Amino acid sequence: MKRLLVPHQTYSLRSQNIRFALLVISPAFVIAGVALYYPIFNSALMSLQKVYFGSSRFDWVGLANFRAVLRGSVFLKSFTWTLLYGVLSTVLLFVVGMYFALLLNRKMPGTNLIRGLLLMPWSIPVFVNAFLWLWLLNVQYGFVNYILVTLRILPQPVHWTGGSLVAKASVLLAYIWRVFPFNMIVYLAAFQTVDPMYYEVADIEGANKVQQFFLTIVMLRNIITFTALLNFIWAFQEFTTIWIMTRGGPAGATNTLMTQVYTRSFMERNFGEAAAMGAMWVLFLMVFSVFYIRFLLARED
Amino acid sequence: MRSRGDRIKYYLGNLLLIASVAVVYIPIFWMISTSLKTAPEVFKWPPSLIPLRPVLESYRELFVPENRYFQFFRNSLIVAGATTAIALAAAVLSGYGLSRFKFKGRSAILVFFLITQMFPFSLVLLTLFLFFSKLHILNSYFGLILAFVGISLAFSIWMLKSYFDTIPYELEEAATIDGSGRFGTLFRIILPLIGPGAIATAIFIFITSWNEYLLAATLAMSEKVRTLPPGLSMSYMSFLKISWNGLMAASVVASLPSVILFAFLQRWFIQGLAAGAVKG
Repeated sequence: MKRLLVPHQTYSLRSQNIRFALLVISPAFVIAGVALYYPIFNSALMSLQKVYFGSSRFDWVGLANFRAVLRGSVFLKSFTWTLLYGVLSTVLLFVVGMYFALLLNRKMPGTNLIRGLLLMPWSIPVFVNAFLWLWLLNVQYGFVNYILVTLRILPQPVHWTGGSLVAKASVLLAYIWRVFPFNMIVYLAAFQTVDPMYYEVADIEGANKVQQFFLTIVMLRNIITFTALLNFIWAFQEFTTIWIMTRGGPAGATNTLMTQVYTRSFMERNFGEAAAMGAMWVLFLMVFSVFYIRFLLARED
Repeated sequence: MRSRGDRIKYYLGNLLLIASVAVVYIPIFWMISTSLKTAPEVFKWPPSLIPLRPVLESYRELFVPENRYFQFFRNSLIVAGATTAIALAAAVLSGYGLSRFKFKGRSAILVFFLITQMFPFSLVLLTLFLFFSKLHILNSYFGLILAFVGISLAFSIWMLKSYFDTIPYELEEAATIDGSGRFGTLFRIILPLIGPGAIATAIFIFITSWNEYLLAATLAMSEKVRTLPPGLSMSYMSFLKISWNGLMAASVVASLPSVILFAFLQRWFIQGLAAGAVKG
């Protein structure tokens, strides 16, 4: 990537400049306010209410919703799994994305074509991906069971969405397959930003391939961290794959924050408790946000 | 190629790459293969990898009016198209404002947008649903588009702001001295320069909207405005026995817009991502 080396300058601090800046920022500001901030604040209030579905009636109940949520075992279980899902998918996306990026980052004819082919899973819609994996993992007629049983890796077909552990693995697999091309592309682009001089020096110093790989990782630590943070956020927001494949089951084994709040509100009609669960998540995520935003703002300068 | 060992490593690498690509492509192959099978062949054991007698039956069925497939498809196109146009316009303006002007509160505004990525959508949805119902925009394109634009903004603004940061400031200075107005400068000088960044962002928004299931299923319950994700899920999965060949045909067609978009605009997408997201 050729980068323009002109230092970033800004206009002088004249009031008309500020007015212009605020003017161009305002449409997005208003939309985010109406579509995101207003509902999130209302939801925070709702966590302190008992809401009667279908009417506008509600009672203030203090922290009763929070107590109810914390008393049940469901919240803690989904909390743990959501964290695990976030961490595991981030690690796996790094590994798989890096694997393909390294394989593609060699002098070889046709790499552009193969890179294009490998982007394909990312252009498959999330809901299609969920249907597809549900079918691939079908217990009776699915391809995965067929191939594993034929190759004698499994003695008999596995009900992939039926057991707690295999269902967790299934939703992770489906998710990773679709998203890894994003990591691959970002890492590939990042490789191009490393000055070849470093490798020449490393070669002269007698560094082997493994040491050169770690050199690359260290030099690209910022972009790797950025991608990991994005992956982590995406995992937290992931709903479709899990909802279509397992509905959060079996017995809540794949319930994440997202499916849990949705089930508690729109399925069980308990809006107050759903809001309390969500509010606790937001508090938890704020800790993470501080890290994320400081990282992004630091990159700016 | 310096030595024999290097050559062997080179070919082993190629072999590994090709084998890996083949594994990645199994699901896509399986999807297309199933979509061309007849119902009895879908439930055949052992399964045939390539349909014994490929038929277009499942695709033809998408056109049956009662399936409403193309109605959902059209709704998805309308909503994703409008969302892309509106969110891109808003994000270009904001990205420009946040990249070019330093003023007190600028970081705060940036944080204001970025932090919305942490809002769990299901929590937003709780009261967004009630809010939309009060405004009478449940079951409307407008409501869906508003919600979709909302969730696309944070990432889009960040991408475009980063992209604007890479464009030299002298160009605008020259235009300002020439007497070009602020909007004139923005539209005639700057916009043409952010092509790859804008295309990358547009693809991102389009795919986000095309994929969105949770908001679509809750904010648009009427069939009139229902989009593909909840539409397909309701038509093919509400029965005990799922018609897999039908669902796979519907899935292949539902993938076409984003796959085509990628096939043609990939180069710009990678360029835009590289310049916007991959800095430093």
